Amino acid sequence: MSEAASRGQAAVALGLLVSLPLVIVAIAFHASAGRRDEATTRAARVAVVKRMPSADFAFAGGSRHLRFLSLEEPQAAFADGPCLPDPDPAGGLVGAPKAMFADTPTFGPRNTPTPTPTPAPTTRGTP
Amino acid sequence: MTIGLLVFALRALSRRKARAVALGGGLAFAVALVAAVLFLSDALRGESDAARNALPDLVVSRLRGGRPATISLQDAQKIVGIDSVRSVTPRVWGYVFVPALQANVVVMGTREGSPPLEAVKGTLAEGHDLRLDGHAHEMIAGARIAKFLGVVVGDELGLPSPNPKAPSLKLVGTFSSSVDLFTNDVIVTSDADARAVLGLGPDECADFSVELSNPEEAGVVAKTVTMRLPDARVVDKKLLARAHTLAFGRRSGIVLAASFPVFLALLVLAWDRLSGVGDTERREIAVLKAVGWSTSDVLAAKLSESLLVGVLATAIGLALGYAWVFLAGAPLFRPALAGFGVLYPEAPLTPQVDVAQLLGISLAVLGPFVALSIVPAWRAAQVDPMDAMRDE
Repeated sequence: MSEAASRGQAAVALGLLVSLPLVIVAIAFHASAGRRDEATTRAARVAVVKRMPSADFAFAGGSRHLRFLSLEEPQAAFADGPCLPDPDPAGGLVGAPKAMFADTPTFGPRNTPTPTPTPAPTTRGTP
Repeated sequence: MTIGLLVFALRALSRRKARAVALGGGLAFAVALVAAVLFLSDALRGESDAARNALPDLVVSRLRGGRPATISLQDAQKIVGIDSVRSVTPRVWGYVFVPALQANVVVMGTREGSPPLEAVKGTLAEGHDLRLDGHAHEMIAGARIAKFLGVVVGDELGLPSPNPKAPSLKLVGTFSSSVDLFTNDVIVTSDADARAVLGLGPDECADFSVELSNPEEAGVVAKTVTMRLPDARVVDKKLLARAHTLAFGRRSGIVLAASFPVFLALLVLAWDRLSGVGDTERREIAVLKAVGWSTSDVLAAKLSESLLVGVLATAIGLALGYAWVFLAGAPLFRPALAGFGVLYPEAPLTPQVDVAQLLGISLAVLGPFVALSIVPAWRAAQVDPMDAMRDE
């Protein structure tokens, strides 16, 4: 094999070896440029989200009843229909960890039950 | 590792192209799959994090029988008096099912005094913001709603409503595609018109947005609100963040878990291909050792082959994963990870990828792949040249 061919193969081998760092740098550069472009439209997003109920995406919920999943879960009672799979926690196939709701304020007064008087039996016909 | 060894490895690979392509192709596909899932879930999380800053500190809604219900405007007075509460704003919003779209549309009311959208470039694709004088009966709609209903700026639309006196709304603008992710299925109108369309009474609203003078006190204020309004549900920003993080994390986890058999099959294939030393390869190794190559030289040459295949496949996989998500719009993946919607937003996502993440994926893939090839390479390097020649 000629020396030129051997040198060519060496260049190819080295090229293969540096392909990964090159791809990593190229992706990082492209992503960084994308983030710079996004910064120019960020004000528009913030202005619009201020008029929305929440910052959930228009496709945030797997169910039509869960458009704003962060506001509606865990109280949403059902998905699109009985027995239909729902990827979100309300009756979902895979529920969110309960710890997620650990800090959610609960109903204060109900946590300290007070004895309620037993209602007097009513008798039909009595005034 | 010398250039000579790399050249030798390259020649060896070119002699066994089919095996190299099968292994490299499988590895590239696996890397593309993992990278695409991670890139997409990070991009969604990034979009969500950036938008969350625009939200109120607390949202107070009401539950009746465990279901969300409207809340009385008078209840705002019980919240206003709490220390640290700067403002309480009733919000009027809800869903309207539009049979023509077979989808729910979000109808959101806008209060007088809201900052005009035209003041911020990139919010509206066409038209102007609402005139909130109470008689205009105007609306701004997501671009897809307008497109699928076939309405253009200037047209009037009567939304389905339980209230027979609900006015038709005149489309005065459509949201820009850059805010598609949030507005695709939304119709914004005045509070009065939203109330009329949704059938809410004059003293009802959907929830209160609460701004605090010290957001760090959100937890304390939330507890006080639930003491004063026992049927209230209070959502703070932290809970929103957790809901989003869990939603995207869980979905990407499920997709990755579902892909696990693919990785397993790839590793089994790699082991099978790499451990099966063919006659030609045995002969090559025998000749090398007969001309003076040591076992460690042969081992290094075999590892170089794996490294070349692994590095190139990882590079192709990363590039494919990135292009799949950010250039092609993540076909197949996006509904699984982002969620489903009848009115599906097509807005491009912003990459949140950085060098550390890319290096992490590369090492996580390359490490096991090269490690997997050590034992077969060692076995191949142990070939006795005399035995190999005699077998021939």
